[in-house]
Amino acid sequence: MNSEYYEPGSGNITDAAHQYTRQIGRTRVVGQKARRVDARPLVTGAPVYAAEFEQPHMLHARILHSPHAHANIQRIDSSRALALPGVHAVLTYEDVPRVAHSTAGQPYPESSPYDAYLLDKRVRYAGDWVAFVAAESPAIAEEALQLIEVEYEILPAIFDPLEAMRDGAPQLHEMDSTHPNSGKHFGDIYDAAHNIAAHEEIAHGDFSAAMREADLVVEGEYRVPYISHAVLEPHVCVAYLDGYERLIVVSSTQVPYHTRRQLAAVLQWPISRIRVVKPRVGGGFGSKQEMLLEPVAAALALKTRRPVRIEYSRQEEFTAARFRHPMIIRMRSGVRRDGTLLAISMHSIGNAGAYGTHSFTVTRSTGHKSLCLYRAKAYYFRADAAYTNLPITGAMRGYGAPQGFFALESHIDEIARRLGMDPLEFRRKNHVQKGDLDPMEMELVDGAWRSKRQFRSCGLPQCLERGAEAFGWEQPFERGDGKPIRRGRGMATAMQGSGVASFELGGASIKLNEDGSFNVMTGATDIGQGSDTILAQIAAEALGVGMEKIVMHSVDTDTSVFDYGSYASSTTYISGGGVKIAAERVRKQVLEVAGDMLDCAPEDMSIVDGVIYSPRGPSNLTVADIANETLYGKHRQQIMAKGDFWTDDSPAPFFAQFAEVEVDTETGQVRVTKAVNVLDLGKAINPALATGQVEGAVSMALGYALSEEVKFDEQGRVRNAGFVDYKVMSTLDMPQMTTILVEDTEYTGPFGAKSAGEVPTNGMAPAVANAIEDALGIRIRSLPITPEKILQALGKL
Amino acid sequence: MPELDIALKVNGRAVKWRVEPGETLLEALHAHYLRGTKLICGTGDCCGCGAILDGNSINACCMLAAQADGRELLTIEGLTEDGKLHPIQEAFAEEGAAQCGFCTPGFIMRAYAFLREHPRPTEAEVRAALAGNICRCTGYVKPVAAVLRAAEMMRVDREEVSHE
Amino acid sequence: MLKIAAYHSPTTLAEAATLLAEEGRTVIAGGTDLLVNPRYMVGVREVVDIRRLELNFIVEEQGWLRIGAGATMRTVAQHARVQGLANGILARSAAVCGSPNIRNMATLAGNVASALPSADTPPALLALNAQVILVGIQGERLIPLDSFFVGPARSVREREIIRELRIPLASSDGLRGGFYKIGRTAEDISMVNAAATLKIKDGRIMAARLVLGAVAPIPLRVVQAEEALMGQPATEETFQRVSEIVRDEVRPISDQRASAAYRRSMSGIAATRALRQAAGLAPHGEEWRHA
Repeated sequence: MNSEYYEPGSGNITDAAHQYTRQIGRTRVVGQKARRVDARPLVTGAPVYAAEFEQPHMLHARILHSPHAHANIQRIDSSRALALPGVHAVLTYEDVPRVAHSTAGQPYPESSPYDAYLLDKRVRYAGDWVAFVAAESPAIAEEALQLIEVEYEILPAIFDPLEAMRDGAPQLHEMDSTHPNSGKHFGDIYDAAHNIAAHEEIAHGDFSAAMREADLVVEGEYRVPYISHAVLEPHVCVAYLDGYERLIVVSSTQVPYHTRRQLAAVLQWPISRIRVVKPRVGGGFGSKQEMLLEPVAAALALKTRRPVRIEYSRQEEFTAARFRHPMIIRMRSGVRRDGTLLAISMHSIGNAGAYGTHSFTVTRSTGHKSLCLYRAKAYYFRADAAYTNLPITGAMRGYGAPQGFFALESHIDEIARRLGMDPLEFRRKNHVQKGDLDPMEMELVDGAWRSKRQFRSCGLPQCLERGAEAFGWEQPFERGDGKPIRRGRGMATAMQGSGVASFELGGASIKLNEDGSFNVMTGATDIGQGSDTILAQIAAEALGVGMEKIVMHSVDTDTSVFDYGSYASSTTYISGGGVKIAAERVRKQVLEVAGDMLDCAPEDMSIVDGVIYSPRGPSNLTVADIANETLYGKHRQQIMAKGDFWTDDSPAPFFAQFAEVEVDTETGQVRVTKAVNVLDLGKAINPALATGQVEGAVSMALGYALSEEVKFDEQGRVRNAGFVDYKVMSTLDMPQMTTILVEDTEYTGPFGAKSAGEVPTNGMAPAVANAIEDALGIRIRSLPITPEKILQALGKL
Repeated sequence: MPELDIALKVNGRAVKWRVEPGETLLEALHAHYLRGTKLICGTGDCCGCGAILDGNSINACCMLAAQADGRELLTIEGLTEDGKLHPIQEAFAEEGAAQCGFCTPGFIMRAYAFLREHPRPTEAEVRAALAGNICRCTGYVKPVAAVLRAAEMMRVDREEVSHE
Repeated sequence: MLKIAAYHSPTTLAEAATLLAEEGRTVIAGGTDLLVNPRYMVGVREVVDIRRLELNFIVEEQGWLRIGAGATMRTVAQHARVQGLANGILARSAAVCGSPNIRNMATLAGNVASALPSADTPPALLALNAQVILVGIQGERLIPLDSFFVGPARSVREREIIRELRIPLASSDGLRGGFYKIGRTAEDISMVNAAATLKIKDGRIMAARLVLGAVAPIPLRVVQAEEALMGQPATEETFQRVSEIVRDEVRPISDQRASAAYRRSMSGIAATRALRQAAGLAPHGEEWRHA
């Protein structure tokens, strides 16, 4: 924990929050609905994305994908492809180093099995990589793919995770004892013989004893599907060698630094000779928390010594990128008649697909991030992630939590109904409270239970209160009983983290220019969520200048400070924390010079709107004057500082989702007509961006609830690889939405902020399922809730 | 493959382009450094490559460049005049309607065609007008608000002009 | 970049027909199916654009409403005469075909030429008893739309251009129509759709056409259902009975959009709802799934 910034207070968290709020005082930039720093290029269509980056003499790469779900490559012959005019290189598994690695964009050592190779003799899903081609044009590269001759030995394939874990099922991976982390917890496959990529168990309290006290035991099994990020800018990157034999990789990524490290390992090329640049990114949602196309372009660039560009087609995005883990989740809980939750258990079986990237952490998060929403005497959580011969599942916004919350919040609703309690009342009675310890993080230390995580801020009560009020939860409601169109109301609650506890590092360096402007060079990756704007606001506020004085730069691994990247809702809290530290250090440097010039103690001075204030009031010095003094005057120096932030904590944002549905009982079609979304994010650094995060997450969650699903044929091939049959929500599918922000100060976060980006993805699916039960008295435990499932549940199909 | 020459007006300027018969209009735009029109799905299912052809909004990914011969095309690059943002662009920036921004040019061009015919739209009309434009970031709340706001700004602009 | 060796842009129908007589050439109009669906490019090396043939007309002439092959979905959807025809079923089906941008490009004739079972407008055209005029090197022929479709993406059209679609106006007089589409989301290809036209006199059905989409290899006229409607009172009971016939007659498949069982069941619902509209019995709110 970084003590310079952190002020844990006296131990009384409420006092600490008040003290912190007083200390911040009134903010001038933070809390404002500032325009995005990148608004102009975005609305003018400026070529600022990786997709638009070009180099002279650039070649274009394409990938040959396996048509088979499971096969060995018996023979591969690229001679005809190489003979095609315009083809510069073809790489097969025979041409690249065989380095076991994980593609997960996680800190080293990755908590994912090292089961992947850039190219392998064996292919493990329909879409797996067989060969790479670089040619003068995309069309020639495409044509060359057809000329690569491959003979496959077809192997038995397995698609069902439950079957995959049985004795005698076709085995996808052997443990590779040569990889650097073999034998350590990280890097290993949990049980390769049973296709178990990862396994986790978390228990707290005496489960059997707690269940014995229960008046009612409720069980249920829930299923969630494969879904795609459907990110609008596909994965794309350009790799080239500069004149100094350094490999420059311009990529649409969420994790520039992790990618640099992994590229170095896979290509066996020194880190010092790799530079990863992230321009604007056209959306990520976790699909780019992954090294994907970078080694393809890089290997071809090293081979051809020409710049190489590769971009996934929309078809490839839907077949050979990454997906959200489908899961089967079994819930079992015991409650007292009065509605006291006693014990709660969850067993989730995730489908890892062909490789285990993020499998451990995602399936772990399903319970780890969700069960702590409720107080109970005992908890039990178990997760397994099974390999199958289907496309690779990885990180996706919410990171296992949307799966967990669909199960948990459906299950809680079922419990409340069985007890005859209002589901909102049941939640009020049982949900986590400020000051509670996280039961998923308990350790027995010297005979006493201790948790690494305490919920110091919790605005959930306000979320429920304000949400219920705005939604009209207590108001009379016409369900349309007996009519073909029926209406219902449902709700759900959720939480998440702000970064991964102990596994984060982020921040920025800041330097002062002559005109009083500041370059903020951050490693945090803006992927559309607006972190460049948020970080600029934090920097401006802490420096005492206006937003127009902040020049954002992100990310270039040669110049940005190290940052783990954008994932796990970390950017505002972690990188923002680092930016604030950097800004405070720079401000101190500015004031030291100003103090010397004005003969005044720096700690008695301040900067307001770029003007230096002494205790006597505004001076005639501005920040620009200090800059000139330091760059050309007597106090010659570059005013500059860096700030890092890391913590072994991860404060939880809280969320309440309310939804009203209309169900056509003849067609089974469900439409959400009204939604109220309430988020406790600690502090809205920029309320417009924060509500934008909520609205976008809710629309994604609504697609999860009703329509999104990647479907496979009997050979494991994707049947709906395009927007025409992978249905995301449109303007006409979205309900009237009200978004409310609750600010329960998180005093460990910059200006009281925790996170916003992921938690609103967790509520809509269970809220819709709960509303459908309210409307029709049927319980759908499987997503997406299609018209067919409704009619089946109604006994009409 | 035999190339062919087409003559068209792009963003108010007459141009002659040499294109291939199988080149889509979107590919031709990109080849001529007009990169603001994005390739997102390539199958006409997301309206991310929206542009205005002879006054109508179209998807540049699913028509041939050759089909644009003799016609008038407006792309996102043509909306900004002398560095001044068009009111629709201004409204998208102000409302925070662009998050990752990759769909934004398509939304703006669709809104441009729509607002010319519907200067006083209702929210429901705006939603219907944007129904084919896929956005994965915003949940559509702010893009819809931006179009409504742009309509207002453009009405004010017109009134100012008529009062002069 | 599509693999197209040559692009032709003839200015007369005769020239276009001559061009098309050669193997490996196909017609391009809006291009929104042709250029994105590889099935239409199989064996195609060159395209013949019909844009300069001046076929983007919609005119009323000698008892026919003639819709030229160049008329886009949007012009069809917004045309006053089309909107006035049988409660505007053709205009409404055109208005839910694809997105606004696609409707500015795609043509009604192209939707017919693509011959997809799930297409939105063929059921309405069939319910309106439309005809197709084809032009080829051998000359011109008139095909009732009833006998135009052969199978998925297959029709009786040989190396020919659809010059126009035409709808008889005399028999459309007093015709009332209904169109109902069931999609997964608001903007979607139909899982099932239905178009119906009825002529009702003194509460009895004097003429009926009922067509279902996405439930058979071709847009399906359910003749047995039409016969069962004849002479019957235009009531909910009649429509419920007819929907049973529809359910028995359709031949749906299971695919990534819906199961055969769901489609069969929905064929009855969509038919009933289209018929209710035609009879003026649709309850308020039942239209919410489509335009």
